[in-house]
Amino acid sequence: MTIHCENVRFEYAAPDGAVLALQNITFSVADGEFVCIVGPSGCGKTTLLKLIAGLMRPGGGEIRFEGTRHEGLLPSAMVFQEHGLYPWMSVLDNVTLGLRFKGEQRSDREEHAMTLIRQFGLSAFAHRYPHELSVGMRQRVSLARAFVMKPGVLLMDEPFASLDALTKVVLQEELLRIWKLHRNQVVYITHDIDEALLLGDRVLVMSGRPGVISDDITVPLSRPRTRDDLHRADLIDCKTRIWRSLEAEVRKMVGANA
Amino acid sequence: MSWGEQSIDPRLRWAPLLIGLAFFTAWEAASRLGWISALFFPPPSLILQTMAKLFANGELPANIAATLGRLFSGFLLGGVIGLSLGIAMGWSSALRQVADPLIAALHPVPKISMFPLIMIIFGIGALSKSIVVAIAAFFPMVINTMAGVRQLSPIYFEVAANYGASPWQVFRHVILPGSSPMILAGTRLALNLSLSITTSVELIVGRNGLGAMIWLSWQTLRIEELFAAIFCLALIGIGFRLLVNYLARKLVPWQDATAGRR
Repeated sequence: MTIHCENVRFEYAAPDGAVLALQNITFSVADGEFVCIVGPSGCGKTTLLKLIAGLMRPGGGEIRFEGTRHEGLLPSAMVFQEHGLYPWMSVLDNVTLGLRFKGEQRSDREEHAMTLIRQFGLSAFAHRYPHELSVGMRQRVSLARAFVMKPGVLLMDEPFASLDALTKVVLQEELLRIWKLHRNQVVYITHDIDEALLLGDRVLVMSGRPGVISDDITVPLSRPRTRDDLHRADLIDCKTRIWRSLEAEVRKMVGANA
Repeated sequence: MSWGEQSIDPRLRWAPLLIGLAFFTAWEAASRLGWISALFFPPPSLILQTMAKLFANGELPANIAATLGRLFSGFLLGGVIGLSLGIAMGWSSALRQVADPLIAALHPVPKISMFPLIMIIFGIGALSKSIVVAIAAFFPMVINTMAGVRQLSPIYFEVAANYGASPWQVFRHVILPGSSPMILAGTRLALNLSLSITTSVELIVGRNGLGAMIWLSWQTLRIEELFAAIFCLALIGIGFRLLVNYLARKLVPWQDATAGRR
């Protein structure tokens, strides 16, 4: 399956008229590709993800899903930043949620969910409630819930943004390990340049107000990857190039001098 | 909003019971030693004896049954309507915009003051009594339920939409469980209000029920019977508390979540 975004535009209503949030967004995500979108806060990344998820309609242009390779249950499954789990459902019920909405039998959906719960190392916590888990574990549950749907595309909205740096490293590795088993197409949003380069086949750079795609970089790394790869000279070049295209805007936003 | 036992200090577990016992002991002593009028404040032991006697001759069970019958018929009617409207108002901002000011206008009116009007419309029978109780139960139910639905994070709805939930599934798996702590809080308020309105109505027009019993024993100056009825009301209140706590354990075992995650 290929995702095409063509000239996508989005405005939202504000007290003093419409605000243009996204403009001229054009890019494609190839079959099985892991694409990271990196950009500063407020540049419209999450809006773009919600448009791809179909939670909102674009105000102009179009988003097309082409091809029928995915045999999964949903065109897209989203992993939210945090608070995406239902506190009134156990880990197992949260993970089986989408399958249940699709009307899958209880024994089938629990079998499918347990496979993912095991892959994410959560077997011992299947019957716990989210508030009994650490933030890192909760995000693993969110990931398992998305993967179990075998979606055409996994949409991830800064899933590790609220984690501490050490937990984040572990979860990034875990995500790559499990992604290798499933090979879903991924659109992953982050404001962490290292994370984008470590995870993505491609990195799209977004700048904001209104959000546009300002750069498109193919990451020169084969898989499997480790964090050490980020110290290679060509990776540092990539990092510098991404930072250059973001720097001016970030400085302006925090009120610092360029 | 948090239900359950986590926040309980075991050292204070028996404190309410001890305070109650101390109060009744002091009352017993004061009444027997003549510090207070034993005619108007008969010793609790005598009140308990009266309760046992009235229980044995069937008077008390009949009155309790009459009161609870009126209470629950009204509570169920008003509670179900309040719950349904509360969910609808939480879900639909248009409905909320229309209904919220009306509720705000009617809520502070003492429900018992509507009783004469209700009797004009529905007659002087059992129906009018149930309806005034229903009105009293309706308000805490509708207000708490609406608040319960509204405090649900928008992300919960986005997750449901993204994972393909039908409107019924959103209702069944997101709105209903998510707002249940607030619905339970509304239930507790509605039960207690129903009890006090039921008793008030019985005081005015009842021929039976605990309220009628209170009024009758006052007029005939059988003060132990008056206290016996009041004690029964207090015991029913304790029963409601146990009932709601039981429901909370069954329905919101994830209780800590709302407190811990917001």
